[in-house]
Amino acid sequence: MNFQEMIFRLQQYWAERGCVLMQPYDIEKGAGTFNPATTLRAVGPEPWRAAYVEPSRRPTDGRYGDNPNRLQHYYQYQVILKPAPDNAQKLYLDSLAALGIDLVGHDVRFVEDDWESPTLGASGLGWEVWLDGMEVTQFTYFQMVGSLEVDPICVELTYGLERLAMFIQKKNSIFDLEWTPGITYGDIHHEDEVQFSKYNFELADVAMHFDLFDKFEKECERLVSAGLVLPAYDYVLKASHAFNMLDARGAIGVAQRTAYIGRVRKLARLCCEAWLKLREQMGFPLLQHAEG
Amino acid sequence: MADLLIEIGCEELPAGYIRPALEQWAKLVEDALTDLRLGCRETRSAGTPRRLIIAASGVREAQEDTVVEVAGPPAKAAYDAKGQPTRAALGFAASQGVDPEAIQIRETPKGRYCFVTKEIKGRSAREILAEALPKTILATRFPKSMRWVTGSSITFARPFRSILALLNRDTIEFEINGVHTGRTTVGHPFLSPEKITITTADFGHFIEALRLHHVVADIPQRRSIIEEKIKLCLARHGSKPADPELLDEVTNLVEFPNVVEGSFDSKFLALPEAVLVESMRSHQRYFPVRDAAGKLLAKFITVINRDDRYAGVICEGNERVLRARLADAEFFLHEDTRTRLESRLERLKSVTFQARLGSYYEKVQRLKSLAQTLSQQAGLDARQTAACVRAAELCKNDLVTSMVGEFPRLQGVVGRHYALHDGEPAEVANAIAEHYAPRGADDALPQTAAGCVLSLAEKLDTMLGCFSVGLAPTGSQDPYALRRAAQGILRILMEREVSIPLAAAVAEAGKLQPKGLPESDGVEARVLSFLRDRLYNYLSDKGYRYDLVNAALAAGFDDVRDARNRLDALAALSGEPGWEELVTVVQRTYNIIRNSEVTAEVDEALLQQDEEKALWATLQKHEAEVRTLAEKGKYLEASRLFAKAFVVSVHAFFERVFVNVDDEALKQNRLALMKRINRLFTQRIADLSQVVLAEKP
Repeated sequence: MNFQEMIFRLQQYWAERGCVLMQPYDIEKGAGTFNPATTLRAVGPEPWRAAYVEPSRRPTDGRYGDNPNRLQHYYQYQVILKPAPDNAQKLYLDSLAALGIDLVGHDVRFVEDDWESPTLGASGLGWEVWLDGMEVTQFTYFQMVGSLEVDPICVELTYGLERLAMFIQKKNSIFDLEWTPGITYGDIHHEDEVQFSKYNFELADVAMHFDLFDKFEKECERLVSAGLVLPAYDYVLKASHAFNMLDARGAIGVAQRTAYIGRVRKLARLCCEAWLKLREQMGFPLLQHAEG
Repeated sequence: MADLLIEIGCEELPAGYIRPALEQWAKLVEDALTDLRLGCRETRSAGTPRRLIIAASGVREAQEDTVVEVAGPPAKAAYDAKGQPTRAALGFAASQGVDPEAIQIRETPKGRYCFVTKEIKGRSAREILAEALPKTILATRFPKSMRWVTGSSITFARPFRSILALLNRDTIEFEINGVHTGRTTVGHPFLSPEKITITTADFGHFIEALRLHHVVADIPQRRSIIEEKIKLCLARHGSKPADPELLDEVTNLVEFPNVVEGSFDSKFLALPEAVLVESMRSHQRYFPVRDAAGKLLAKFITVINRDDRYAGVICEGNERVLRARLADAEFFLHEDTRTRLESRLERLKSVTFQARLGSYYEKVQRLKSLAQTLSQQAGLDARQTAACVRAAELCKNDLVTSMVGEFPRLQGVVGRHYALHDGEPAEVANAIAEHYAPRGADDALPQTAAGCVLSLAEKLDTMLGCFSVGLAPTGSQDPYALRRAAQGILRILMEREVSIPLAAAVAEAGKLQPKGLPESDGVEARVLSFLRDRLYNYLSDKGYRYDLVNAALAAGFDDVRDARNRLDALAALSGEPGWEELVTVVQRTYNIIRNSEVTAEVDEALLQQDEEKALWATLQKHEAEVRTLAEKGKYLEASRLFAKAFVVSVHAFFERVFVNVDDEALKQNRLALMKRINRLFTQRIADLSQVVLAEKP
């Protein structure tokens, strides 16, 4: 099964299970969790089911395209199920079966992992899912998002699409994955890795990113005060990415790190609180759909 | 008598939670059975990541009927003058559901009171357990637990999805978090996913039923199956038996225990051994395989949750994962060794150690200087000193390697590997690896002299820096692990052949810190006091009496091993006859001077009475010898001589000589004499005024 077929299958599978198929959010982010379709929708009492592909950037993971297993830009397939269904594990396992994986013949393992995103003030309990020793998915019952307790609890499934594809296609290099017949992952993304690794590690302007971080932070706070939570949240993402860039440049020390992460977390909390208030004022529309 | 069987069917529990949860839960069930008068002959438990099982035997099917006595109001309030029951008596009878005539009056230590005696019908075990068992389940605690049902505050380690609860052949009916009890369970989720109906609460039958469905629920049994299989694999290579800690962990990662042996390309054996072990053991929970000589082989053993039919495919998958990890590591090694370790120093300028204390580059400059000074203080030879300073220069450079970025716990070890690769002397490379040691209370100490000194320098620099910027540990806050650093310093000084005067070392490390730090005033004293407290803990943990530790440390701890020698002398003396007399000499001389300012020196011309003249003569005769013995570290001999000289003479002095006379010059002279005798012991050996003597019978 090639890379794009996997995405089709997952889209089909989760659409059939009542998920809204969202599209990637158009701002750089480290993971699908940062998409407002997860972060903001996880907050408050409204039910929500969504699934989407999320291009994700982790500048520190760049390897100039030389490493067969590591990318600074990769794809997650993200599913959010709120409230957490009782059969969440089964739904997930069936999705692997839908990808043609023989669950009896492979060792599927739910390995303890207490997931945490300190920048989002989010945490949960769950597992890394291993297929024959390869971590292919993060399976989390959210307990906290935006520093707020979550109720209902949501299940977040984050599939590492490249890892899954390597498992399915039995490839030893990401770049050899078949994207579609005749075109490999490397044909599409190898040069990105070369260029962005050089940029992230060597050329990104440290002073500019420090400056941007401060400006994004101010803008976010200003917009929250003005009651514009959605534009404000964009600046959480931008600040977070600026931090990731600075981190890749080795510009942030151990103690400073904690302080910067704390600043992003505070912004995320402000936005999540404002979002909750906004939805409350709107009468939690999706809750009413569900009841009606 | 009945058997009780309960199984909680969970989504995968963390491996480390299973045994502790079973122990707690078994205890909770036993206590409940006892408290509820149902009794319990024994409990047994079993568990896998997907189930926790408790069984109890010898449980009564119903409580026995019982008689209880309930106390009511005082008799005088319950009956009026005519002996008629008052409202108090009537109310009491009504509340207990008996006629007022049933009230009995009884004498108690507090006076005459009303009582009723009631017979309580025993309830059936099924009925009571339906109330009690949910409480035992919810009272089981985990290191971390979670909510999963909307609007419910119930937490557990992971969601549970089924509960089997049987008393003999009957189910015990209850519900928790939407899960209703029943008599069914499921087998292995992939190999035997069908429902199993359980007809009786017999533990052995239940375990057997699970066994038939690919679940080995008994933990010791599962462990020994894995252990045996691993032994068979290892025996082929002549290796030592498997790592018991990892064995415990993997036992609780599977329901159906099985192992496969995989291999990897032997070219990866060129990687640092620590990298191979970290990749296999920590990241993948694989057992590394060594030959009889302890050398790593290009093999690994992993535990799988499937039977042999699928072992081949699963093994290939695991080999691919390990190959990817090792290829990563090889890539890092290749990338990293394109640059010499020494040339990475500049990059440390952009890695912050601490905002006010600057970058790692600046820290390295301090470490070089400190390593030089401490090497001299420790008496290292020129070659060792040079190695220590060179290692200081290189020791943080691995922080900016890809390998440490990927394997942060291998900092230092990676530096050693790269230093050797660059042709640095082994002494330098080892000191780089050792400068983080010890990393914990039980961790190994640096083995080389240069490693010891560099480790001391690293820890002292961190302590002085952090204390100067207000990061001294408070309560649970210790982000720079300064307690561990202090303990490391003391262990190195105490247990390795390195001797450095502590105060001078602290002062030197303090001098090197950046200027103008917010809390730099008096930082040396605060660090020394912190070290003193850690030393107190260190020695107390070794079993020394706390008052002896205080006494020994009061005479100084600049040389911690010397402090310990003095403490050993005290420990020995405290078991000998004459100990109390020795302590009394020091305490009496201390008590007389403690509230006075003694400025004078002894003036022989002012000595009047025979006893003080005699005491002075004794002092003249023995002072130098006591001092010399103490300087040679012969504390036992010094103390015995001190006791021999002063026990009688000081006692005689206090009998006959009055110190606090009106004549100020005379008084000062006598105080000066007391002080000199006191200080002779307390400054050189131990301040025995801190010793607590046992009460005399």
